[in-house]
Amino acid sequence: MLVINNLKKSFNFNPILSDVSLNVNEGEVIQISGFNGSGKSTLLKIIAGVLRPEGGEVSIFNRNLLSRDCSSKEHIIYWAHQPMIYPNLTTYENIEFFLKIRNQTIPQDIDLILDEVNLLHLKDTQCDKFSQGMFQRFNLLRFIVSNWSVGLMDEPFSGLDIDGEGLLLKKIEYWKHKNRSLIIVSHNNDRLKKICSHNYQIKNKSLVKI
Amino acid sequence: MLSTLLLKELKLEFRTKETVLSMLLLGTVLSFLFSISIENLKQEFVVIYFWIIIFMISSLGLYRSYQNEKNLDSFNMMISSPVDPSIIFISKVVSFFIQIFIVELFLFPIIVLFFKVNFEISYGVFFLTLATNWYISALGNIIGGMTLRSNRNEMIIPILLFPFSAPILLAIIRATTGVINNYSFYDFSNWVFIIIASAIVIFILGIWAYYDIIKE
Repeated sequence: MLVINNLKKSFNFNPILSDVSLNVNEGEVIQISGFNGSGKSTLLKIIAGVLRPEGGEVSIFNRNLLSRDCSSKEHIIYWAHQPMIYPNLTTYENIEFFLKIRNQTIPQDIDLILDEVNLLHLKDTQCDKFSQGMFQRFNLLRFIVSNWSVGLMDEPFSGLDIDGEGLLLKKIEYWKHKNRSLIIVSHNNDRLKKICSHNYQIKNKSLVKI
Repeated sequence: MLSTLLLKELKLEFRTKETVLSMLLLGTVLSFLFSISIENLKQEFVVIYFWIIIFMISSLGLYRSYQNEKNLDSFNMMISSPVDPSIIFISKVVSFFIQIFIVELFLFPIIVLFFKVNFEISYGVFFLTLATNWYISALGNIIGGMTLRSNRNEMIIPILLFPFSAPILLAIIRATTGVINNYSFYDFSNWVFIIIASAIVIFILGIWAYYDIIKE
């Protein structure tokens, strides 16, 4: 489904990733770990289309994700380290805008979903006062309300409380069951390790299966 | 898609009014300082000051606009979605075009008051103003896009905006002077064509290149 071939990326002539290759099949949950600065987030940013690699290919359903044609990105959803939210829009306006630019509509049971992620009381509140945990819950909301095939998560557990962590793990299991794929950049999380289909580590600028 | 993006841009701006108010405030301060520094200015010089002020406050407005996109990495949400970067560019150009125009609507009477001059706004001046605003907005958003990957956008925008705007600044000053002095159109038509052609070319360039500009 998602194929990454010989990906290369450098910053200021310092190679971060070299010859990274990965195949992700339907319903697979892949955990990627590695030292700080090893290139985990860079890899996700390239797949999400935020960064441009120096070489290599990324495709989803045989469609090039690195081309100018952005329509293939509808299959991808990205949970970044930063919240990627407009602080002067309300929770509802942010999620509405996010869905509209993905050509999707807001579900009728949005209040129930907001309640599930514990953001219903902040539905009409501007997001400028959100804590890190609330931003993470908003990211979870994005994943729940939209249609996607491959989810990219960068440190999704950081900042989440125990309830939020439990809810996220439950959702990851649910998405795996629904044949959706996930690439999760995370440090040690024993419960996540049990759900994952494969565990990888970035070592010497390449992905190594562990 | 364009209407969604444009609505978001305008909603963000008019909810806080940060960009428009800061541009208007800086424009007012500059107008006041220019007006007290030299007395009994000719209309032609007021035109020069007006356009210099507009270019200066535009760089402030563009900085604020792109800072909002950078603050919580909001821009990455758009470029990781199935949105054509050209549409993002067009929405930003239209939004900033509207913002400059609103600032000019308020700033113009302030300048007339401070400089104590009488201006008749003809269709010609109005049209030239719109064309120049479009050029500033298109060029500014190309430069703003470049700053998304830089931590120095407060420096980069004025450093790049002013040199690339210099020929248009000259053209709009000459063309506006020609209109308000009722010169024959043939006397300043070259300047008008330069403004129109530049506005069109820079807009098309932005549509074509924005995808490459915003990616690191």
